[in-house]
Amino acid sequence: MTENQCDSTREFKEQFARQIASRPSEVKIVLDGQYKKAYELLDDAVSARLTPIIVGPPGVGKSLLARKFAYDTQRPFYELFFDELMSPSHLIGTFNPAVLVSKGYCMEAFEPGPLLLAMVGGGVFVAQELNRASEFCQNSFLEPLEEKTLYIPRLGKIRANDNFVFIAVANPYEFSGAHRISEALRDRLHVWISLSYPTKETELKIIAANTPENKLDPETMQKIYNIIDQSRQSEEFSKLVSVRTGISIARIASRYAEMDLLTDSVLVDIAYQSLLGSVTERNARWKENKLKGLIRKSLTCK
Amino acid sequence: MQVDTHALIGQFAADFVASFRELEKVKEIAAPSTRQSIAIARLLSAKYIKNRELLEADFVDAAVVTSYPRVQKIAEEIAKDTIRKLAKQNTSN
Repeated sequence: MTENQCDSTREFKEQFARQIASRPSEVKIVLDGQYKKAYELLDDAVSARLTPIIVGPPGVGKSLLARKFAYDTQRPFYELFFDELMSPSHLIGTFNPAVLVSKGYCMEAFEPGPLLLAMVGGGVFVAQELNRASEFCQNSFLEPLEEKTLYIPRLGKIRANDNFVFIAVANPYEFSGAHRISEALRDRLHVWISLSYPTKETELKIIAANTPENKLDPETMQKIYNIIDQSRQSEEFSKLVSVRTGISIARIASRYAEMDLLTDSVLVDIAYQSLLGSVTERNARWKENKLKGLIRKSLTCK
Repeated sequence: MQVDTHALIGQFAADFVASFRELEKVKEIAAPSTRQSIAIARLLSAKYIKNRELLEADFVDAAVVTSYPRVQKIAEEIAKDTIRKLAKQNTSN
């Protein structure tokens, strides 16, 4: 290894040590309207030792709600995003082949997965995109949810810590890429917490809370909300114009406002760029004309 | 009205699930199991412990949120009907 390589490795190690998050950062969420109700229901479900599932379209704050609950109750937070390729070993853990060869099947050779860590340590485990999980993975949840136990091959069966909480998160079934949740698993998900796009008042509060150096006047905030709202109602959009899009527009617009450069025409350009990913139409000219037309029209809405 | 809340919770959960289970549409999509009756009772008990009271809306909410989303609208109607009948019974007793 050259001296330069050594220096960059050392530098990386130092930076890595500094960046390790030893404590979870505070979760900022606007607990208003549907979010307040959903949070209370989540709390009630956990108090009653029932398994909650939060259902809603992308970007409405499902994961944030689960994270907030973990933070408020001082439980360690673990999550896993499901897709077709995820297997139960990603959940439970695996034996490290190198240690396994030298020491055999022992605890030292075992690297626990997030579900096991949450069950042993009394944490919150969030199964993200549960309706993307294969049947194989879905079946792995049956024992932990019903019996609060988990069998780890070669090591034995463990009983979950009393503080263990399982929260499932899923998109509504009509969203592309989503699968059916098996009947057996569905029956073990007791409380269905639905979230949809927030009301105007709540969404404006969320956008303001997530634009830390907010230099936007109420009139511009209203325009941003109108753009998002009109896009959601337009048939040309896939149903993905999320709260995040509004936050993105507000953050960039805020930078322009800071430099005194924010005009309606700049706002149209910012919104156009932010909304491009949500349009189903692939024709570039169509996008340019129709999308910008829709954004301009939104600016005049009351 | 003097009502044994715990008995009412149990009665509501059992009556609701029994009526809900009889509907063909519900059977087709997601027939409620005994787990749902238990979930309703536990959720209502947790709420009662927290608030020291239960409103009619709490019973309806508990039935709705423990039902699969595609049948929640039907669950709401059945739950309202169930709690109305129970309230009537309690008044006449």
